[in-house]
Amino acid sequence: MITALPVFLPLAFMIFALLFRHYHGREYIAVAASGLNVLLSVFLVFKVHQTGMISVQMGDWPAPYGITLIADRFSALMVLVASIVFMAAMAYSVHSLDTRRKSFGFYMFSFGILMGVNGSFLAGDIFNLYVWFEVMLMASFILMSHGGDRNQLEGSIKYLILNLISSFLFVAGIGLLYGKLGTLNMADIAQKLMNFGTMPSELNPAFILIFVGFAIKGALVPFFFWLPASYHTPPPVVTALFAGLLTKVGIYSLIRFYTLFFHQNAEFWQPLVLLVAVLSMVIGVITATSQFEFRKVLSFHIISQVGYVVMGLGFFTVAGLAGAIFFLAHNMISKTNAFLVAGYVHKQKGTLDLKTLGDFYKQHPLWAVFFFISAFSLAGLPPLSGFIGKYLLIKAGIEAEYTIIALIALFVGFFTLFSMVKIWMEVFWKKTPENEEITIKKEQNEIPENVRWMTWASGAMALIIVLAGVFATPVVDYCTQAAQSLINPEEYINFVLKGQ
Amino acid sequence: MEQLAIVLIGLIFLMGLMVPLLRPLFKNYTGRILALVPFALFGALTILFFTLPDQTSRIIETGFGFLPEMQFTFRIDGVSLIFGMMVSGIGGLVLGYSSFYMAKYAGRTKFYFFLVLFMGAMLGLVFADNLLALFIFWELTSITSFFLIGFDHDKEKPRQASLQALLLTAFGGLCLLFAVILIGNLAGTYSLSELYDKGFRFGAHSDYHLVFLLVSVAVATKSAQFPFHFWLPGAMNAPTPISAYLHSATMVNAGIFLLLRLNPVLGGTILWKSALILAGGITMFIGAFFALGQKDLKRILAFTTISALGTMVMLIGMNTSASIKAALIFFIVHGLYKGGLFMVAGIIDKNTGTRDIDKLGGLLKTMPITSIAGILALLSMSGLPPMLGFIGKELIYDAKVQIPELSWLVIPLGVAANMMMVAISVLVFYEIFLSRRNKKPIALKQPEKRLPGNFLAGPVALALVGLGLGMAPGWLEDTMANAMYFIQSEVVDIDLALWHGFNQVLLLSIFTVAMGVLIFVFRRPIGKLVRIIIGWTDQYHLPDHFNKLIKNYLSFAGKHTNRIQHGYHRYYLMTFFAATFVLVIYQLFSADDGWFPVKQVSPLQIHVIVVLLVAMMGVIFAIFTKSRISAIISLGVLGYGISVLYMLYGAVDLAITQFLAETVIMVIFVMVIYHLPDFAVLSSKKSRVRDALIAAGVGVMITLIVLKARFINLETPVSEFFAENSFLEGHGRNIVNVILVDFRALDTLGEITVLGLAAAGVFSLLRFDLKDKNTKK
Repeated sequence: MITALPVFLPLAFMIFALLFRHYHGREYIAVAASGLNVLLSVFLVFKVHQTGMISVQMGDWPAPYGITLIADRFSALMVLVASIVFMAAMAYSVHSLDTRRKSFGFYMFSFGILMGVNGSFLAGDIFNLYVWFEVMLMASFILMSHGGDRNQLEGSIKYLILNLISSFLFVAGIGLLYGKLGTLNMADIAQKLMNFGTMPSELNPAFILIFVGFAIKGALVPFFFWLPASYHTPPPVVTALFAGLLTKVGIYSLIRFYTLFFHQNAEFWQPLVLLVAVLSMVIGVITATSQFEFRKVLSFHIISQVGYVVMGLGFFTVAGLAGAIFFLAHNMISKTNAFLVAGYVHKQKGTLDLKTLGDFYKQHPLWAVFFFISAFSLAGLPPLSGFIGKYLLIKAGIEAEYTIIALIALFVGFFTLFSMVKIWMEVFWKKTPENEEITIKKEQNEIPENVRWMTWASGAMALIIVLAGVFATPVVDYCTQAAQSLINPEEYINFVLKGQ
Repeated sequence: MEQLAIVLIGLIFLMGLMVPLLRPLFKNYTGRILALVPFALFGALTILFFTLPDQTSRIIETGFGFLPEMQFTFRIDGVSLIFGMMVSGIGGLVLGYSSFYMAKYAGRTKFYFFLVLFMGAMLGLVFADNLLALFIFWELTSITSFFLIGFDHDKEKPRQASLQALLLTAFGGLCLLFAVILIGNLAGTYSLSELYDKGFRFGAHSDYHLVFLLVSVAVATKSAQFPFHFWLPGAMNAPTPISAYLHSATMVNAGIFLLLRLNPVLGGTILWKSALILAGGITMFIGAFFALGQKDLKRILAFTTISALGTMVMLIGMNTSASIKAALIFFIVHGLYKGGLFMVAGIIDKNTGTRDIDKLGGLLKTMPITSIAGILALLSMSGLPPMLGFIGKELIYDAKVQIPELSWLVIPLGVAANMMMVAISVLVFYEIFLSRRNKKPIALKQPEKRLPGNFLAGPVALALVGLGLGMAPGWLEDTMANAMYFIQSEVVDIDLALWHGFNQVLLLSIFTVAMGVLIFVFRRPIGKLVRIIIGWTDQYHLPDHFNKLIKNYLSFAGKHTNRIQHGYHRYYLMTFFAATFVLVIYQLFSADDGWFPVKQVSPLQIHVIVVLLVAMMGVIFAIFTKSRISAIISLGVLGYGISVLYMLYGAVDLAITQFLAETVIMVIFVMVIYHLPDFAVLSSKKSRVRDALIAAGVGVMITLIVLKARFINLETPVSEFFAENSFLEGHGRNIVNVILVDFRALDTLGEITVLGLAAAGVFSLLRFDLKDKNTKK
């Protein structure tokens, strides 16, 4: 039953938020609910870690017929990390978001995203996964356009339309697959594929459509355009939330599908996935370094960093998958926190243009530390979590004898460092250019003066980044176990279909 | 004692992190109080230094680790003791020195914070037994030095310098990481001790070239070897204590240390020898040469550091006992004199306001103690007795003479570089401490007596150590022998002495000094010549080129980003569809049963064909009509056609749903269109053709895919379970309903949520807007 709670808790809060739209303590209740979600996720991880997997059949209909919600180590970890990211964003919003957005359903829509995200992580059924994608897409589209700035609307239209193509392709693929295999349950599909021995090529078109759907969601090359076109437009806290959750769900699903289905036709899929990974890493980082807006730099980097994860998937060894899982989790935290810092800068100066900013190191040393930790974790410097992630992936690449790809990943890390240092020098080190007049937009004056909750949220995330780097051993062990069960899907299949 | 040493290293890290808390407590004494820890460490290491049981002993202490293979294992042997003592000893002196030097600077908390962390990182590096731990500390030195070099970050120049230093050293660091993983992957261990014990040698392996390349890039960037040397003079932008520390015992010497550590694993090959000797030789020469043309005392010293690093790299490349011995001694020599000279330069700078050797002069009289410390250091630098520098230089010549196959190259290069070093030493000595002619008398800010004693303690102590070790080099012998064992994996006896008898090497020394003095005598013409050459090479001024490289890269990236993320929605869509199209078609053609789905097509009945034709006519009309309303309605024809098809195949529920949905959509569309401006053709014919092609392509693709679907119902499809159980178990006669509200109720819940969200979203979007207008009024 615990498996279903991460879906129903957000739903309960949404109903509450709808009923008490004007209640003034709503932000604190949202923080409390997200905290409850964190506790729940911790419990879930503990539970899963004991037994390997737990699942629930909705409506008590047995496995291939009813909908399965299942948490294995991988999905439980994702639920946990997502809950942390979410709680940080909720806490951060208390002092970073204007009252108008708050009273117009910000919290309700945010929990909508959480519901979709948790559902996607836990879904054991491909159509159900699609439904959660839809929940996520709808909620995120509303948040993207929420507040109705001109920029925001323009960004959200692109976001919506390009993501609708993802939905279209995904659902088309599901239809084809169902037509051929007569089942929607993931374990059942995997089982049937295994029975074929070699996967019949007729199934590939459906998988390609699904793959493209995930690639759009996950912002992989060449399907990423919606992300840089929209992520810099909404309020920073929204971007932070999106950056931590949305693309990662696409990548999570790709990993899930790849390990369960695609890999059974590895000679077709493995080169393709590796190619996409390398292109994403390289193109993502080149485009990121060229940007001169805080959030755009970070947004383009998302592309590069999901590329890393997909690379680990493409190696398809236990080490590679473990690295991918670790990197994914690390990236959710670090990336979100980098955006949280951007939000603070935005609140102080009303702009995120690198050229007009400056002096933050002197004026806001604490936030300089937060940025340093998150950004240099993204760049993979020790002793932060990103270093461990990078190390695991590169090592996996060398072990799997993909030396060239590992070298590419290594030097992509160099350019990541370069762009993070660029932000550091422009925003934190240099003196604010004198002729630039910083105008804080007046319409933001509904944002509370206080920054306490923002500091706590970002500080906690920074702490997690450091701890995950320094005490990496248990996390990596956990990820390795998760990878082992991903690479041997029999365990998953038997658990769902036979309940063992 | 070893535990104590390790605890002290840990304490240095802790102190570093605590600086922001400690500084308000200790105020201006912070530097001096912080210095106590490295001094204590120095003491502990000294005891270890003299109590190392024998030549082959080492102490390994295991500590905490990030990962099982990433343990912070401490390795205490001759090499790490020599380096560790230099790092901690000079570190303590630098901290004490900073206490005065930095007294009036803002941002001292940050300064001490990064300085102490840097020290800790450097100590971790030299004591690391685990290659990954070594790498981590290596990176930490890069990061902390970035902050130290960019300490004065309000100004453009220090920022640029620190960026260059970071980019280069971090680049090298990444190479090191890769090399380390490669080594670990092949050897099955990251532990130096295990590598040494197994006698693991990498030379014959096929990946050796890659590993060697990566390691040498790491070393060359960190230790400022040509052509990566250029960041080091830029690092002069850091406050002088930092320069003193970076140059003498830390940072740039990390590369030397790494070479020594990896020598047993990677060394001894032709590649190793030739590459290191070549790179080191060139660096040694150009470092000295450029130093000759400088006027700023700190810049002179910076270039001599480059030269000294080149010497060390070259010596390690030779890989004989004599050369390794020389490299170790020279490291000590160089650390002592360079640290001292930088501190002297800092004192002079503070007390006179300039570092220009043309303006300075006659300091021997006005600042005698500083001058004597400086002069002793200069003696060591030019390799004159009775300083340790003399022994160092003799050993270097000795090593060079001993490799006959290369002596034709290394001896002339070495002699030339040393001549220039002698000339520079004499020049600096003369210009700063003696000469008063043609110069305005230099005014001191305060007489030397009034300078705080500890300020002078640093250079004086270093000069005296250099002198003392020169007189009694025997103290170094045991530890040196131990270090040699772990670098060369063979037992050698070390015998150090000032006087080695009258031999070839001594002759070379005398020749060098004589030539150096000669250069000094003709300093004006030679200086002019050097400056002309430097002026000519300045068009290849590497720091500028590096900046240009960054700029070019940025504009390249910017241009391509604009081409990739161009902002045109329609091209994004096109890319999506085209990429999908290519993937699917590629797959279809590579499939073993051909792309065309002939065998699966079942014969169509006539009434189906009629419905299809009607629907298609709707589509064609929608494409060509000029009115939006008629386009929508004709698309509606398609929708209704599809529902008729559903009906023909028996899916009544579906057909009804489709009818309803189609109708509602049409109504809404019509309502929206009513408010839109008139339809206008804005796109050119060409783009319309292109759009048509893409649309047709996607259509064909989907058709092919669908036709190819063979509906292999392997086992019973789940729908049969639904059909059987919907009444018995689900208690409903309408299967679809039971599926929706029972079998797959969670999907329905999700979809309801989507609709609810959409409704709330529309509501809030509209209300938001309303309120906006109201407030504007």
